[in-house]
Amino acid sequence: MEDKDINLIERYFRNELTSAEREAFEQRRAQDEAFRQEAELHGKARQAIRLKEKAEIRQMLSERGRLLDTQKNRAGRSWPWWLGGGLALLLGAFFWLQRAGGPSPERQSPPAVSPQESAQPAVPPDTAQAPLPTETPPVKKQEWQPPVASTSEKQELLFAQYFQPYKDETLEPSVRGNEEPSASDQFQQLYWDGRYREALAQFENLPLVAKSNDNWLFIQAECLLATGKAAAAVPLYEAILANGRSRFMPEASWHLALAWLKSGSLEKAKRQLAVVAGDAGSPWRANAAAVLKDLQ
Amino acid sequence: MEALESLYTDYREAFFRWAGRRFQAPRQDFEDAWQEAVFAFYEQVASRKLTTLQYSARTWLFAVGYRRLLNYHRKTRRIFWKDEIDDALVKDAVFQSFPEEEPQAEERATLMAAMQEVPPQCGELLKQRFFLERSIAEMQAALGYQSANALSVSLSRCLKRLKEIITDKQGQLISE
Repeated sequence: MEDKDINLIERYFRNELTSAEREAFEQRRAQDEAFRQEAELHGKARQAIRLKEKAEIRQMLSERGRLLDTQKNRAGRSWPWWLGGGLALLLGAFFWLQRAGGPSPERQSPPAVSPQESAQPAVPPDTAQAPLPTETPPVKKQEWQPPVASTSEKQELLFAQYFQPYKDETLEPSVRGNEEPSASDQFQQLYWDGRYREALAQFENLPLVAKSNDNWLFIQAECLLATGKAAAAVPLYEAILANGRSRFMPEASWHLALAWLKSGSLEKAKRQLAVVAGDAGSPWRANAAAVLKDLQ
Repeated sequence: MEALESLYTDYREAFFRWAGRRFQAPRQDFEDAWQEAVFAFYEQVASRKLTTLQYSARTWLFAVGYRRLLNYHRKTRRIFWKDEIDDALVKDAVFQSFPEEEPQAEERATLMAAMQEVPPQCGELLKQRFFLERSIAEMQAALGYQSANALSVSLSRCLKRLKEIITDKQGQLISE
């Protein structure tokens, strides 16, 4: 088809033809099969361009809408997340202290000591630094320490302590109407409900446009990490960070560090933790610094 | 885009309340209708089909959102009110063209997938020309092309490529 024909078709779609031109156009379309097909294909190409633009705009508006709804509902929530987190920490600290400080047999003989050390009487922490009688030979008393985990155990513990799949108000699924939820809606709902394995299976059903979207890929990486597939999550986080297009950049950076930690790549984890700890704008800065300190 | 977001935000709750008095429908339907209305407004303004408003932006958006809800809720119970939106809908035929007809789900998926395969630079050229309806001269200035001829050739190639992808994808669908 010649350029002048394409231009004519385009002017038709733009409603720019005069009535005489329009009449001639309709007549040709009825008689010339190749022209009819080209006009139809041209219309589809225009639709494809419009649909892409529309999908992007609507995604942006949906995110805005979710944020607005959450802001509106926030006042009504009686249990903010930080209170729940704080309570969990307090409970954790209480039980740890019970184990470490209470009169339990474990405290009398901690398991992680060498045979030589275990031959000596155990000394409670509060008496370990009591002055010794002068005639007693200066024996360096061992302060009681909590069981020492191996490096890999420590990494696992730190990961368990700090990793939580990222969720914020923009990720909360909105209530659907009569329409069937889309594949993306279902994926988001499964993620929100903590059904990470099912979410991973559902991810495969997403349309191509969603599968290549860094925000959805971030959620996929979160599901992988939550189900212990840290090595598979790493390249996703790396790609997201390299592209720089996701709205979950600080989270991707922080969770990349945790993914390295979980997969046993200690040096890479430390390097990434240092990046996060040095990022003044990251909300995960303090956490990264704390993990880094623990590792060192 | 900030202007679009603030337009979306400013009248959203008012639209939900207004629509809620007329339709017994889930909130998500109101959300969909509102997004459609805001997108239609953006499309009309960006392509310069809408250059002056006979009504306030609020009335324009509510009227378009209302038509979208009418299309989806013809059979649901409606409560009839009469206000300036109804007046605008009755008086102005321009609202009859909303919402624009959409392709069926299968075709929509094919077209979306086709656009995914178009290189980003081509995507931008196609958007400027066929969505924003910019002239070659405007595109040349906006995109920094040295020659209008080079731009036309690139645009023509991109359109041809998109059409080829669509044809291929439709062929695949038929052969399945």
